[in-house]
Amino acid sequence: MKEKGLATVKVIAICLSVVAMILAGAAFYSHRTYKEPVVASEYVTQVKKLSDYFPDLKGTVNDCNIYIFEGSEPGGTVLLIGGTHPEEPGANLTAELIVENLRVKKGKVIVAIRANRSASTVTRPGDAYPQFYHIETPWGVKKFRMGDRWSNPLDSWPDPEVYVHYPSRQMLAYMDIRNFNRTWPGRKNGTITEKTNYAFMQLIEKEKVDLFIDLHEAELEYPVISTIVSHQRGVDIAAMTSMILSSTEFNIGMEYSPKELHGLSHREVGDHSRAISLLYEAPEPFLDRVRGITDERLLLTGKDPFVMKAGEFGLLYENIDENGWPIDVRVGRHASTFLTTLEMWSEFHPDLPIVIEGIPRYNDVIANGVGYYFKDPSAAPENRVFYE
Amino acid sequence: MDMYAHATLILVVIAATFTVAKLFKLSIELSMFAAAIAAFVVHTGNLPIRHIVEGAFTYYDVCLIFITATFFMSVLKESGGIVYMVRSIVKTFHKHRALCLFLLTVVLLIPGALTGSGAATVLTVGTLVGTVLTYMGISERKTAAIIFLCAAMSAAAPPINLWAMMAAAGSNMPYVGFMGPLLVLSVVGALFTMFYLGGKGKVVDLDKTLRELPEPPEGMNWFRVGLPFAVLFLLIIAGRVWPFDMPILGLPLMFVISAVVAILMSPKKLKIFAIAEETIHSLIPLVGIMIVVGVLIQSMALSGARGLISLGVVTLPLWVLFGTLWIILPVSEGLLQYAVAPLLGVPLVLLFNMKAMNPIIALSAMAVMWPVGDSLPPTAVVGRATVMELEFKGRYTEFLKACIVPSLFILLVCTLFLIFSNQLSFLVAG
Amino acid sequence: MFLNAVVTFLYYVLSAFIAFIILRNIIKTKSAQEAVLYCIMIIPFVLRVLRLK
Repeated sequence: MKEKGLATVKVIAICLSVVAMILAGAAFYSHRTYKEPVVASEYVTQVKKLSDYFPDLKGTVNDCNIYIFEGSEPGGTVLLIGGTHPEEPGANLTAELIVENLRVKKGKVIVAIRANRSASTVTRPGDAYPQFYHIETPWGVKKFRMGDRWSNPLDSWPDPEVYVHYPSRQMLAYMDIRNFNRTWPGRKNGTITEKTNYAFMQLIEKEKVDLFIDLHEAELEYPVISTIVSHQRGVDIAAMTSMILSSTEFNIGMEYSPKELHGLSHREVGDHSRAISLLYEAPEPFLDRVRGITDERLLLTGKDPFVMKAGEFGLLYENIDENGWPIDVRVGRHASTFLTTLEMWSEFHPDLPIVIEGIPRYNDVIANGVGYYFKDPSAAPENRVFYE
Repeated sequence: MDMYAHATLILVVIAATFTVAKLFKLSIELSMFAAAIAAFVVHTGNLPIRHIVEGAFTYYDVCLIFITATFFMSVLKESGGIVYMVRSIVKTFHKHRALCLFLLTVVLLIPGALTGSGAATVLTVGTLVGTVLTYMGISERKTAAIIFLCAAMSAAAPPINLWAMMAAAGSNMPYVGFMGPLLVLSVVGALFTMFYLGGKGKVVDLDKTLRELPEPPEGMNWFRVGLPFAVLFLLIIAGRVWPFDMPILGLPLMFVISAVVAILMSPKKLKIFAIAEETIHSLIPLVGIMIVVGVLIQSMALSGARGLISLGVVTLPLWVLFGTLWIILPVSEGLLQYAVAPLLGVPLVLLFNMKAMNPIIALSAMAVMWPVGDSLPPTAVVGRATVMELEFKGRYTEFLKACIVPSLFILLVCTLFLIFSNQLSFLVAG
Repeated sequence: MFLNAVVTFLYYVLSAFIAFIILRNIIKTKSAQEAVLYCIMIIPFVLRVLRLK
């Protein structure tokens, strides 16, 4: 190519490259810095920061809000976290639904909506996730950050050659040092993800948490789905919850937390604190590898013909039909599972009851849609609006 | 349009754009990029810049490992360490043909094992070992075949096997436990190749061989060659033994630190900046392809094309896969290079999981079959590099013919690993 | 840990160095196709250094 032609190609290519960097960079930046407004229920007692329990997190991306609801009568304490894996929106939406509608009569309820905020500020390269999703509400559309399974590399870089879990020394995949559900019980001097787990363990101790619940969603190709995974100390509650829900509302299983698998909340929180730990899984076809078009529609409706076809070949661990797995169904499952768990807890521990109101059950969420339960931040008193 | 038709259309658009771009003499990287852009445009009716750029990040960390590992090997080469190793092996063991061949195989395996790239082996040790082999009475044709296949096996050898890493990352599967199966397969493959093609020959003419090989710089010794490797090994071990007391270094920095040690140990002064620049320059086709493959994968994930391929693969009966993978994998590697790992590897891992096979053994077997295809057109990256570096005068097909028997042997062993993955589970460790 | 922060910083330096070399290659190359490929390749390295992705 002639000198001049080559120079022209170079200039054009550099310009296009810079334009792509600016446009994409702006998109990444706006996603990373987008703040989700939350209107806490009028019955919220106080809203703390995670750094109140572990000051090292102050000013970091993972210094999330901790919503505390105390009843007028004493009782047990439950901690519920959403956003462990922000690519599983049913989890943080359920946590937010609870924060916006909860009233506690007996005992104490503590909620974190975005337990690992860092992972909610990035989407996974190569997987074409949407950056945001939108939920219809009676007052307009509410926008949420879609996230990833792992903390943002901008907050934790590099990964080790192999990740050695603390304190078990079990070797895990290198990227799982950024997986908030592989780093429990955390480490004081560890990475941002490990420190966040550590901070939650401090919270569990200081607030004397009796029951810990971690919300998740899973691909249908994954065997641990539509189930409650329970630490051995919680099996009676989990089994009763599973039995009652399966006979009254929807099928949900119950599994023991494997003792030899480390870093997961259902294992480590139960092992390293006084709290009983449970983990809920709901189906999310968006995460399946055989999924078709990857977009917000699939994320929220859970309808996908390719995943259905895989089901016809017997390759899935959960059923799926043309109705898919809509977000309302997934949030409804988590809400009812939470409510039934608390009922069972109170039955098993009459001296430490946790009695709550204001949270819709499975059928209500499906009938009204999850957006129905979100409040308008522009119409709410300023002191009740918080940002995630 | 239903989703099947849409995803099929996208696949057709990708194939057509790729073909047309190749016809217009675009490089494989740019043709793949053009195909990805066409897929984005047809799917969205727009140019989704965020998706294009996000896709380019898919293998960012793998690229860093790749670049720093190759830098480490380049420094060793420039310092004269590698030529010292080869000369020492010939000097000490020239009377013991089998031992000599064995040690030369080990030398051939090291660069690719550390960098994950067969090209790295060809470029750093290929010519040196090739010279020795020729003086051992092995024909040029067979020498080229040995260098290529050992380079392919070195790329497959642990700790860094890019196909397995890329497929594992795409399947949410830890890249842990691959050490055993990859080591067994790649060492068996490399040794079979070396002894099948080079087992017979004449006694080495030591003087002539040493005259032909470049002189190492004065003062080079085993300590200077060995220390950088020892440091690398120690850093990896230290990260595993004292994970809570050491800072997290990551593989790229471990390679950089080892390279710094190699620079300090070098008896002659090295132009570090020039080596670094040359490393990145020589890696551009490979790093480029990984970045572009990420963009392509993102376009296919977005449009459902990836799902359609996955669905097609996971609904195939296993016996069909066992009977055809040995040919599909090398051919697809020749066509698409590393892109095949996420495209075919990920759904296959999924299928193996569902069929209760051992996914680590199965993926290891596939990850050793892929590089065998690096001699096949249209890309033939490592094959072409081999004949160029060794200045092989014959026709390319002659070189390919020499590769056939050892290639079939490697593919057969890998297929057996696939079929008996569960029985071989004991190999999974580390 | 302070050392971890140092290591992270070194990774940004490494990314910046690679971006720099790619940029030099863009300027030096005599091939239009290579220039275009380099312009694609440089994007992730620059955005990482700028802490945008």
